[in-house]
Amino acid sequence: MSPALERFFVTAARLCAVAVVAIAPLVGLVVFAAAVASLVRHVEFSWDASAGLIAATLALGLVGATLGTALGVGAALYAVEIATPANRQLIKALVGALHAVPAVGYGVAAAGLLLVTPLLPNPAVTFSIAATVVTVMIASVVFVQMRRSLSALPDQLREAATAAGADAVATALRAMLPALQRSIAGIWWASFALALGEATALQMIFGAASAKSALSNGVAISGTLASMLLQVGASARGVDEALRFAPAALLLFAMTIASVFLGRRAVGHVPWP
Amino acid sequence: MAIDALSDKPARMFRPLPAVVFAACAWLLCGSVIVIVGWLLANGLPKVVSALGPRGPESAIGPLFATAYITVLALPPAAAVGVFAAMGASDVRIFGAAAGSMRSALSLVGSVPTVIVAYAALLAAAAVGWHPSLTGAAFVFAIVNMPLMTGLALRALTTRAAKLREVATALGAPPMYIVISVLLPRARMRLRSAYIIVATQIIGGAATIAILAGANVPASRGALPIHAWPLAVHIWTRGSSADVYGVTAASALLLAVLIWVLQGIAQLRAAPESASQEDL
Repeated sequence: MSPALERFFVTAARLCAVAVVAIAPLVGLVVFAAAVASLVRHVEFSWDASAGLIAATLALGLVGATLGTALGVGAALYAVEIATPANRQLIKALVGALHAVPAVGYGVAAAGLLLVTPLLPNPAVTFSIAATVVTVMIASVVFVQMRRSLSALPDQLREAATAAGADAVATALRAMLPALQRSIAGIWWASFALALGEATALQMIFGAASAKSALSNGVAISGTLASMLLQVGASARGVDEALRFAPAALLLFAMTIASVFLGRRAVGHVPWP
Repeated sequence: MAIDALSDKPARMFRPLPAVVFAACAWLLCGSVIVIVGWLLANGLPKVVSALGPRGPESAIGPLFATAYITVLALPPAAAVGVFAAMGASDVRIFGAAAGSMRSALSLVGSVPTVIVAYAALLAAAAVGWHPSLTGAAFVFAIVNMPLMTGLALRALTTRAAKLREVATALGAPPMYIVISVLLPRARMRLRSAYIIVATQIIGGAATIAILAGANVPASRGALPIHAWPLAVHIWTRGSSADVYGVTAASALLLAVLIWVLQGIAQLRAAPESASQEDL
């Protein structure tokens, strides 16, 4: 390879890497500018009305991240350390299929529970369905990451545990789990960030609950910050309509970045799929 | 590394409760996919013919064309920029002291929710008076998927490559020569698998196109030039309606099957290389 070609490729690689890295600050800058513009232009925005969205976002984030991490970690420990080879392959295939289900697939299935069954979409039912969906979505991602983390652990750890008389369950519980403690904490923070940003499936669930509540004069949860952002963004006809939700978008951006930074501060960098 | 199993307490031979809990977690997740697919089959199977019909608002054929259109437009830029960015981040000599920060920043970019990136793009487009159609939205979708492509390509280029890189560097090879002549050919199968994974993200993603092209705006011209929304957006716009639920479920099933097939191909492509590397 000639030096000129080498220089060209190095420059192209640098530019591309910088361009990809610049996406986050650019997005932050645009959303921040929009939030300021919405204040300057006195675009209608009610923090009181958004309090419910913020509460639902945080609650679903906490429930989804905690249960999803627990479920994913437990499933990965069973699949990698305890299950028979045939069961391991079956679990890997089924959870792999679950991981590949698109968000609209989850959304259609969950919204159907409200649309085609007699279930009343009161806030508790809607929240339970939304929390279950977020938990399962996150658990499938955590499973993939945990399997990777377990495979990366040295075999000597298993050998030492076996030599000490531990069976597969004791090895998983007393050797593997403690070795991955920091990694699991990092996965929780990343899961929390992921749950905060989940929009498509949740918007479908809250949309279905709202549609059915309108028919039965019931009360419905208005949604989360991300689901409302999707709803507002997809129906915005101009700058003013788009700006209407800018402060909430800035808040969601800040919450997501903060959770990633807090996770890194607590446990260091954890690779995340 | 502390190993509790090697402490002075003797390890118990069998722990039924943790074993049951771990097994329950695994089978609960496995059961979830069966429940979701079973539900979509039960509700969507009777309407599959309507969904696969060539005409009518319920047809998924137009949306499939729109899906192919945005995938063809969005995948090449995402793949090209992602692979080059990964090449830049993979060798410490390209960014020097900033290489570690670069990798860390790349993983941070991936954690920004898609919906916020799309919303920021919508605000920027609205500010300059641009109303994106499917074509414009596809290019923004490419930008949204660049961090994922970069992450996958970086993993493909760096997995078990440290010794090869050390040897090539010791022989005096410049960084790009190592990446292009040594690492890229070795990671070819994994990269192809990464392209397919990114394609599945483009096929399954609804939020970016819905926000940018205005899927819920009355008389929106965002679906031009195909005159149909991509399948994921088509499903999303109808997902909250009880009247067309069966057809929506059938379309969701179709989308899921499409993604499973592509993911299966991606895994099969990556499998031989992974196996050969594990043998080393």
